[in-house]
Amino acid sequence: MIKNKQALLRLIELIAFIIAFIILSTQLMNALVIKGHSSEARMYDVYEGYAQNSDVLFIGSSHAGQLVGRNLWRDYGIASYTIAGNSQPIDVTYHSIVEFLKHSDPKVIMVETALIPDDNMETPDTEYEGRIQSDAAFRYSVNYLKLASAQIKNFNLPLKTEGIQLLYKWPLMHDRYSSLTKDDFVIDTPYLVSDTLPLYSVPEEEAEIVTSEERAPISDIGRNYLDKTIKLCKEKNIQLVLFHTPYPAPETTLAQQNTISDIAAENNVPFIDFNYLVDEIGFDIHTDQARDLNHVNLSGGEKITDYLGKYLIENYGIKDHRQDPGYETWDKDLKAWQVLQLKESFEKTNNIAEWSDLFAGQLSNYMVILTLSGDYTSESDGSIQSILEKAPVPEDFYEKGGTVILYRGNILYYSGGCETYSYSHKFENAVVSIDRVASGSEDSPFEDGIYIWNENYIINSDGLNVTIYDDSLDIVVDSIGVDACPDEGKLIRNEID
Amino acid sequence: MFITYQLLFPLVFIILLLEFIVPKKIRSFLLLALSFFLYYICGTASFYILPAMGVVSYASTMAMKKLGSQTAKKVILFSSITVIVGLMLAFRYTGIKNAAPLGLSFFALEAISYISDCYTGKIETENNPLYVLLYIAFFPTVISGPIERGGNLIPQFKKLDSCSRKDLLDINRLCDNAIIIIFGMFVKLVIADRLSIVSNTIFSTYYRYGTTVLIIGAISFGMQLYCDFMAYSHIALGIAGMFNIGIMDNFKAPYLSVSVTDFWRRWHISLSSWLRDYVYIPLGGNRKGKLRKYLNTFITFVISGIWHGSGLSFLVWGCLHGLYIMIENLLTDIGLMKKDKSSIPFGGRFLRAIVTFVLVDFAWIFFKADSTKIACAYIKQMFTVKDFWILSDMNKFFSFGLGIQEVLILITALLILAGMDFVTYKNNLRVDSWLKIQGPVFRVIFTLAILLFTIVFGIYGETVDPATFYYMSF
Repeated sequence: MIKNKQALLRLIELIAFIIAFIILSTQLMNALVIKGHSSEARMYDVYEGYAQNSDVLFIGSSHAGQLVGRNLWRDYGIASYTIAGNSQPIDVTYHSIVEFLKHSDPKVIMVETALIPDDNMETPDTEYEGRIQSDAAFRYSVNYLKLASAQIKNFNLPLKTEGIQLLYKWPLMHDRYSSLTKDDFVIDTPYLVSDTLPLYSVPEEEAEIVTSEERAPISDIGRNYLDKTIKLCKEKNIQLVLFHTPYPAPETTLAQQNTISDIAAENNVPFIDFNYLVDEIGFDIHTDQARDLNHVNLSGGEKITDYLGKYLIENYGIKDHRQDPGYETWDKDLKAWQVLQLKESFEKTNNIAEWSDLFAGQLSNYMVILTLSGDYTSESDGSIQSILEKAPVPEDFYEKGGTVILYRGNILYYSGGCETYSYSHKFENAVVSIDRVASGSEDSPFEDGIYIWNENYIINSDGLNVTIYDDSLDIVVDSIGVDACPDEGKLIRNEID
Repeated sequence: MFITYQLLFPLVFIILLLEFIVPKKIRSFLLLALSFFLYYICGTASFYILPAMGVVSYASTMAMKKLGSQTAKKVILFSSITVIVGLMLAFRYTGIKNAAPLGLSFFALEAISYISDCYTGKIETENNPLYVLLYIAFFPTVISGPIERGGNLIPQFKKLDSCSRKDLLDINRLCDNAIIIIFGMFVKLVIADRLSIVSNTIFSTYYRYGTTVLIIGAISFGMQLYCDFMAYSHIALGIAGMFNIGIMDNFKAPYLSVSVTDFWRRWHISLSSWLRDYVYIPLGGNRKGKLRKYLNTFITFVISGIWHGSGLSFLVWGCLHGLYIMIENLLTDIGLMKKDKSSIPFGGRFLRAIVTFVLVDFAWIFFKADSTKIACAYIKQMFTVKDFWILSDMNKFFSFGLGIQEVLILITALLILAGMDFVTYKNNLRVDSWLKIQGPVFRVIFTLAILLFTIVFGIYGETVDPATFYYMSF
């Protein structure tokens, strides 16, 4: 009897343990699992349900990632999602589509074709095999097992070593705890973090985009997965479109893409090879191609995106969802994209006059912290005043110094001439705090500075400091310092994340 | 290839389920078949040696039982032991070195103890070959011990074949053993494998460093070896316990020992008790005067050194321990060292524990170094090249494979281990039985904490193969 009672109590303890373990480990896994970053296919947001309202899936190698999904939303209201990784092979692409379809019901799938005939597939290297385990970030499923067993078979992976590791997928990488970022805990902008980072460079050498009439064979694996993709889309009644972004490709690549074009035609699948459309979309290799002569840069990406936006609306009647409920995340992502573009513009500007013009136009959108410190009036050439004139700061600010915080154009805080002050404001996503100590004071418990996430944004101790912060997205748009008498009208700038 | 945890634990679960399903009379048979199967898929060389060892043990003991003449028994005893020892030496010192089967050093000693115990009548000769074979091949202990005794295991196998299904699936026992396994995994993956990064870094490039770093290297290796082997022993103990087979607790907080003699009562207990029973006592033990006692002790440790490895460095290591014990015996005999350690106050115990650790750790340098020459160079450098300022240079201090974050994780884990070692040794309890006293809430929280700690901070992945335990190389 006693023994039975003991056993029962232990059973209850075991059940409590298992429940607690499941809850805690699920939370831990959510944080620790590799979500993928800008150069990898990111499935995590799909699993989290962010893709469920998307109408269009863009998928393929990094060439697909260079398109600008945010522009599709801005200009056409097309809700799209991108799964693109550097050198993402076709088998990963195919199984990613299968995985995507479990969570979303897209009307069109746009498959980018650069890696379909990949020569690597005939002689796979270890890097290829490693990519499946980490980068694609598949969850364990029958679909994943099919991918893993296909790779073991296709690439003769030894079952006892790499094979078993693939089949028995351990979701965590060792020392993952040392590389966690905010993105591992809070997914603010799911589509933006799934996109590949835009490129801004241009070619440094002469090159030309050409076409060819030749045909060249593609790998058996590539062909097999292309057929499977076509079949899958037909079965699911989803429109498949193949596309290839423009670049000065070698002859073999052009001939292989022609072979893909033939296969597409046989199956009544549209194939858009932008090498043939450079004139139509106004693609200029000198301004629209990246330095690597392989990818398109942001400008090129925008041109292709614009073409595809029109193409999708004209041919498949993709709806404009901009006013529809359930698409707020796309709006938020667009806003974040615009902030990042603005950040890019600010960071490219080092001239005070240009910078202050840009600054003046953004005052109503962000929080702006202006701090005058040290000997900011001596030998002044008027640079500081020229910036302050553009902001609605109190009239005596230049005279008294200290800190003014503007929130979307209104004064949130003004230190009003105090030498020592402390102020803190909590936003939804972060805390901004200011601790100012009179010069020479050693008594203050604070370190002098303007802190966001405990990072000090005071750059210049003698002059003006301006920090522009987006509180809804928790992004520091820019943070600069201006000397009372700046060197050649230049800003002082620290590297910021 | 060794079996990885990912394979081992599901396999244990399946075997347990099978044991539950099959008719109880064939449980041992099934365990034997699966033990051979697991041993086989480990990818060992000379697989046949394991069953052959079982056959030799069974045949020789049965022959001794059948034969009336004491001389004939003796002949069989010595010839069978000679064959086994010859085999061990052949696989260690001759050209067939690379064909040595996994765990030979461990299961050969088990065979010797079984044959000797049957000869001396300490245990009854087992008539059923199945149990003898299973004793030799029992999968939790076959590769790295603990070196078990037939007198302990064989009756338990018989009990397994007769116990009810309810007893087999006793939830208390299963949960307790799961806790032991989790604790073992924690010590192995979080501590031992992290320490191995430091010790491997320092030992492989020892010539770059001075006193401080080389001391850190030696301490790291001493702790690594303990954690690695203790973890293995815990995992083996837990797995065997899952099948209701109780095996020896191989470690009892050895680094809290107050003398080297004390250390050997608490370190690799299954080997030291084996050496005591089958080497030291047959040599005469302490029955033939003090001088012989010292000599016997020394010989025992030399044999221990030889057992551990073929290089001269292992012999030096064994000799060092032999010397330590001889000196301790001498000091005790002349009254300079207290024999009754329970009368030593805390401060004294603490200092003696440090001295013992220093002595043992110094000897480990020979254990870890690739050769005696390297060990000597390491020691020479340790005593002659000053680098104390490195303690102020944090960049250098954290450049031995572990950054500050890693060191903090390691220290946290070491504190948990030290605490657990202290309370379990003090109360003479195992981890599971100590936790039982603390109540179910603490038990659940503690187990969850170390399990999650292991999942997050365990070293697994490309750099360290978690399935290889240090003692498997012996």
